[in-house]
Amino acid sequence: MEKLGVVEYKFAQIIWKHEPLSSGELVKLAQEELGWKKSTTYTVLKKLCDKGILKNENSLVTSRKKQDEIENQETKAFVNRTFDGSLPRFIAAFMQDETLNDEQAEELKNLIDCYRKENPS
Amino acid sequence: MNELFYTVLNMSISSSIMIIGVIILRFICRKLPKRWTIFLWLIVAFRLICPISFSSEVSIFQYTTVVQGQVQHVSNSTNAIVSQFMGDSSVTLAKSAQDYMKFILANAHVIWISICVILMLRMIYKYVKLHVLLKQRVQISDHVYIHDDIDSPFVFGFIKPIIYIPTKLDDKRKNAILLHEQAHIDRKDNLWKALSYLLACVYWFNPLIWIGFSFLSLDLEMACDEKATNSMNPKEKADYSEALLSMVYKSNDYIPVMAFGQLGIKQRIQHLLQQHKQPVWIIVLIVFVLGISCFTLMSNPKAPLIKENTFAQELHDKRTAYIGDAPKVRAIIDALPVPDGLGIDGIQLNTQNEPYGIIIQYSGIPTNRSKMNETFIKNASLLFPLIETLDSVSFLHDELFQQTYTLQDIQNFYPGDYSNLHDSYENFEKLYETSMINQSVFQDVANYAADISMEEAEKQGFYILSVDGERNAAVAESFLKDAKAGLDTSMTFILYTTEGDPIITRVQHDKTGYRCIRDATRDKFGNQIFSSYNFPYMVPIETTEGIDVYLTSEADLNQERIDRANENGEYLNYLYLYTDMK
Repeated sequence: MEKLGVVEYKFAQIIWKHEPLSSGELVKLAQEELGWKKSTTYTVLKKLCDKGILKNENSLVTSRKKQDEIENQETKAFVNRTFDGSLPRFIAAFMQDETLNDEQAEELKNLIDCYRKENPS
Repeated sequence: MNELFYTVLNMSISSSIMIIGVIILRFICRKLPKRWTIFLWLIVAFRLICPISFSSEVSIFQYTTVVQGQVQHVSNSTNAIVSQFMGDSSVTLAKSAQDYMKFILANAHVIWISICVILMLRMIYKYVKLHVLLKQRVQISDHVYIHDDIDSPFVFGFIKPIIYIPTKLDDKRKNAILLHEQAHIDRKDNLWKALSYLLACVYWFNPLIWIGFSFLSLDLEMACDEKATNSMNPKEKADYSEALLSMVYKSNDYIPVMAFGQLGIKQRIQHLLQQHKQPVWIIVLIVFVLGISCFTLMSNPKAPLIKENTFAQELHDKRTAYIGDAPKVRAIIDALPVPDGLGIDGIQLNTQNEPYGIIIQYSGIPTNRSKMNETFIKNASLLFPLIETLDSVSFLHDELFQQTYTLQDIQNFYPGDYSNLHDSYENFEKLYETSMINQSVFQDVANYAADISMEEAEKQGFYILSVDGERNAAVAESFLKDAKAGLDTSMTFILYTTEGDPIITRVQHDKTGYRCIRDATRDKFGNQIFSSYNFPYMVPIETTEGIDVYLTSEADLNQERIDRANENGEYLNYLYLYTDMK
């Protein structure tokens, strides 16, 4: 089964509902339903064509995989926050910016549990 | 740009102390609500942006101005120190090391501004890139969107901030997330973070600024948590904390994420759950301490009352009767001011035969030439009384200037009682004070452009004498006519040497006589000094070509005396003004 992220899935849904459609029509629909500009639409269209899910020939957009062949997926995240990501490594480590280890997580879990016990609502 | 860099450097030093102070205070006040203690960082920012603040005597920076001064003059001091340690003649040994240091210092500001710009451009680039990537989003409510490719929720945008949430986030935690991010928007945290980052770019060379930035970011998150959980009961607070914990910790129940942007979850949860209601008096005490700290950290030290007199006294204490006493002479010279941009390369003493002289060798580039000339004249005027057998003082620079002053030159500048200056502190102090206030002397002539061309000078109505003859003779004639008639009048007269360098003399006449300031600093092949003269008389002397007009203190000046003085090397007090051609 092919996998898509939620946003990509919503975009593919437009094609599944209206195919075959011209790329111009697709841009208009994406604008209406998702609020996307032309460049965004073309970027995602190309992405999905590369994945083999959609096809764009002579400005005519059709799907190569149908809706029942796709499921939502957790995509690999690559975007992170601008400013914190610019911290030099040693500073970030100094601030304990990395993920917690088991011990620390356990400690905090206990802290929260204790807090619940001490403050029954 | 160099000056800007030094300003930044100085501000960095005082800010470092502030940052350390705030980190300590922050630790002391860790149990207090962050939304109050976070204002400590505002003071740091203030100090980083504004060099000027108000003065007070309790400023913490009383003790740091010494450090700042050292940084400013590090190139000057290094030279002085090296020459002091190495003795009279071994300055050359350390010259290459000095040159290397000088090169670094001269170009440090280039390195600084380059990296600063690079860091800022990088931030802009990443922001724009993120902005484009984020377009692939789907709206789920007013200013909340979901996006496939992000790993943790955040707020993006300054004008219309938008909350972005990863699509894979379950509803269980969405609530806490939305509250937290909305609090960020309400507190305008994106803006503060961006501004702080800009400051960090400027002060990139100081690791403390990055540490401060990290602490500030953490404090912002904590203040945000406080706002988000403000009206929550304990159960809701516990749920919120669990949501936070789940964002960074992977376990079977939760979706594994590498949440790079989640700062200090441990500190945040601890802070949230460990806040107790403090007794009122502790709050009052801490606010009081905070207030005092702000005051001391924000204010500048009152300029220490440098009594001019103490400096004069110190100088006078260093005096010596013998120019041959090298350590003492050096100590005096080191105590005197050095013009901005210059450093002393070495000091030579001519003690074998008369005229006994001091030669001070400089290198560097003066930032202000007329101030430099002032400093040299002042220093020379003090050196003569302080070193009893001194005959002449020279200030030399390989490429830029050579100035030699004799005691006579100085006496012309500062007329007065020169007796007993060496032994009597009172008289010395008088001379010192005179030299400090008598500044206008230099303004008159220093105001001209460095190399005034003959055409320009003629246009401005100056009397000009050069190898080609004279111009604007009418100016000289009318000056003399008015002077003879007893009127107050003045004129500027430029003599161009054979190489084309202008020697500018400004002559003023009033009922006390003639006063001249002669600026020979542009004469590359001569003694590039300022000279000052006071002449009571104007004497015309007939020659075969015409009438030479002289200003002099000798009423009976004539051609024979002039010729004789030139032959014998005698000093005669006169200034040749111009020739009235037949």
